[in-house]
Amino acid sequence: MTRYLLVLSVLVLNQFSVVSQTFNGSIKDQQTGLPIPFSSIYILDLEIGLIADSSGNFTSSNSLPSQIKAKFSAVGYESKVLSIQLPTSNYSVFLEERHLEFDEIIVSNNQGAKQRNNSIHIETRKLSDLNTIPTTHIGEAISNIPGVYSSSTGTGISKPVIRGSQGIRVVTLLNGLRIENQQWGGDHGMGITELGIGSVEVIKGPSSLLYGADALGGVIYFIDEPYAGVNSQVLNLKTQFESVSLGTKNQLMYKVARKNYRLSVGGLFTDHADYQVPSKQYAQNSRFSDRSAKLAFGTNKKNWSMHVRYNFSNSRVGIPGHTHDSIINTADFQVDDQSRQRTVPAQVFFNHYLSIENKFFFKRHELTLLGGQTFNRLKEFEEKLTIPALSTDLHNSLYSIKLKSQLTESISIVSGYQGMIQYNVNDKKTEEQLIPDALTIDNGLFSIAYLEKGNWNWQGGIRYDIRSLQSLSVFKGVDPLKRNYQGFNYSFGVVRTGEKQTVRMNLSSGYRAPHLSELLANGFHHGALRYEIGSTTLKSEKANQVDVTYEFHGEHLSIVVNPFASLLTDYVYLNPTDSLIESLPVFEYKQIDKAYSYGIDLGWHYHPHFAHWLHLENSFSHVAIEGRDGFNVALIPQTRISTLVKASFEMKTKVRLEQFTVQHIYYFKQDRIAAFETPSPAYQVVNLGLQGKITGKVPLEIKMGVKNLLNARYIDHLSRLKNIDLPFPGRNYYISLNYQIIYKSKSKSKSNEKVN
Amino acid sequence: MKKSISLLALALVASSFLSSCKKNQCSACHYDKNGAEVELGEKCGDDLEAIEASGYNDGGTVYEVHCSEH
Repeated sequence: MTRYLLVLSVLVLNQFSVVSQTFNGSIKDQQTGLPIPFSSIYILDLEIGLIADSSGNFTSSNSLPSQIKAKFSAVGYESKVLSIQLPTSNYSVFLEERHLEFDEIIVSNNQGAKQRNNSIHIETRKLSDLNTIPTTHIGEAISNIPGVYSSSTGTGISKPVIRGSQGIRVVTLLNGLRIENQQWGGDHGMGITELGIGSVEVIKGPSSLLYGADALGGVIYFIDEPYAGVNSQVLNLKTQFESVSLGTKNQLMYKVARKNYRLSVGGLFTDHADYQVPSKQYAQNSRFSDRSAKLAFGTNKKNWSMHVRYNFSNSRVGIPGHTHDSIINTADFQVDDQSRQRTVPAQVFFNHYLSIENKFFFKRHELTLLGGQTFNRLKEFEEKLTIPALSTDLHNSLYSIKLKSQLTESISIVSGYQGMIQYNVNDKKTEEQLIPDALTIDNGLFSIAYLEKGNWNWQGGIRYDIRSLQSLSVFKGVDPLKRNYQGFNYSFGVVRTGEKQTVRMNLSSGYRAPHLSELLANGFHHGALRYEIGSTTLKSEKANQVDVTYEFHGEHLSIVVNPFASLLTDYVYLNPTDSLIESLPVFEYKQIDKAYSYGIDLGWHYHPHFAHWLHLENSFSHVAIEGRDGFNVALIPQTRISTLVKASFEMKTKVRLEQFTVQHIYYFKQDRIAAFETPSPAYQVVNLGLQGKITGKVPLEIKMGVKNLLNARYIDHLSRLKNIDLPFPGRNYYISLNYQIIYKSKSKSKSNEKVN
Repeated sequence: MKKSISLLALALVASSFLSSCKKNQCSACHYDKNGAEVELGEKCGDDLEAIEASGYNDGGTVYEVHCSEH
């Protein structure tokens, strides 16, 4: 036995390669062969960033495994992702000059490949691009992505809606950690602030293969900003002011990276008073504040890397529309005085997210172990300032093990096991409980194969999940429930990538077990301004989707056409009724055997050759969900056309204007409505923005402009304040300042090398 | 320079958290008696929590106390 163990140990250890692999080289322009100064190298699996020197040369002093995947990029060039065998010296990378950057590296799909070679259509955006016109909330920022909308309660709560699905049907991940924060509630926010978030990836449609139960409508995957480059420190201070709510947002991030460790730490504080509506009155009790903190630590040694990430957030959000009157006068909710004082009703959230990820790199394999713990506390204050009417805690322990194997040059397989143990417990001292104490256990096994052959990339996988759901007490007269739900899911996709055109097709499925709130609800949900009634007869809902994408990548023009269609089986929906209980509308959870979801996302980006300073971007999003016999599902987003015109300037003055932006968003009327739902008229919003810089040793970036320039009065179809006729904010002036110091150590000498 | 950046960062992070710590919350309170509001003045911190929890005793009758503008 000992002999076998010894042989096994030798075999395993043999997989590891020599310590401190040499990796140096240069990055050059493909056409001219000239070096590209200060270009970036990012080693994907280890999350290590390097910056080339003024001659385009780079050297890594880190301990690296024998094979790495690295992204090489520079401003004005198309980035490249390359798999590199180490050790290697004088490694030359040639980048092609590009006016348009087409696609980023996709993190969420395990492959670390560029979107163009990915068989699933994934939208990836830098948060900075989504905030060209700064947004109040991260949920509002991601609604700038085609096909993604926001369902809001005032300006403080914003939930993502993907292809008409929201809440439990959308899974949110933060660096691979699944975020559970009572998202079943229409008024419970995302639980994530923009602090330290660098980019977001959105998978539209069912995605249970990679993310398990509930990923029926889509997945939102937030990715932290990269750590500082090796041997450098970054200090970043951002502040933002919005006139409409006298709102401030202040953020500070500090990052440091040395040879074998990287650390990022930061805090964010946001505070908004009641916002002003176009009539110059104020939306009563729309005030909110957020506090959040973040810590990320990464290290690597030999063929191992570890990332520890912790996020904390605490929000207090006022709920507009509260009244004790049996007959509602909607004018009462718009008042003459603006306030930011704490009042009721209000929701208070506390979120703690901790994840520890370990990766082990072998010659042809990569093993990832991820463990996480999340905690969400939701308190609702209704009549008392200090005593909550409802307080509930959600503890979630998550674990996953994933093995990526490169079987041949062109075939790889990712297999894994994921699970979570979720415990929901109510504070028994409070007068209200929305859901019972409950224990939910998920476990799932999956395997996905990837094949790359010439211009073709194929992907296919299967997954089996089981969810055990158990309520732990009698709840509103219903005995404790115990249910098991199973899901068998698949995904199959193929993409053909040509020089200028990409065609992609993907078939995927998803499943979602009914949530306790859908099974057992029977009471007021003040935050959502409705009375909800559940049904214990609900079954799991399932979805099967076909999604096709055509992309054109010209030198000055890019086009994306993305139609989709889904068959939804046993679809659960919240149906408005004609009843009111204590002035709140009554909604019932219902299920139909079949519903169909279909739509299209279109986009184009034109960058004319004769005017390289001009960028024209346009997107169109349409979705419908309907059953047989003209049945329509409630709360489906309005069809939208979004246009962004950006003019960039290259000034050499000390105070420089860099960009002028005009954004126009037109929402078509929504008259495909459910029974007892009211239609929403068309509306349009125009936003203007200026971006500039005061140069110097440490430059100051400035953004200023106006949102809702025309002071339009509008209420989005997905707004939960629609039934009290409370419009969105009126004309809103903003200013945002961003101050960043990058300090890079050069061997033993000190210099403030580069400031962005 | 390196030390000063680190110190500045730490100071700013600390001040950011200190400035956002929960203040001693105060609010004007009242109770309803015979259809009229009876003001109790401003209550803060533990006093505020106590009066919201136990109500106000007026001549042997305990009235529910409200301490917000809603």
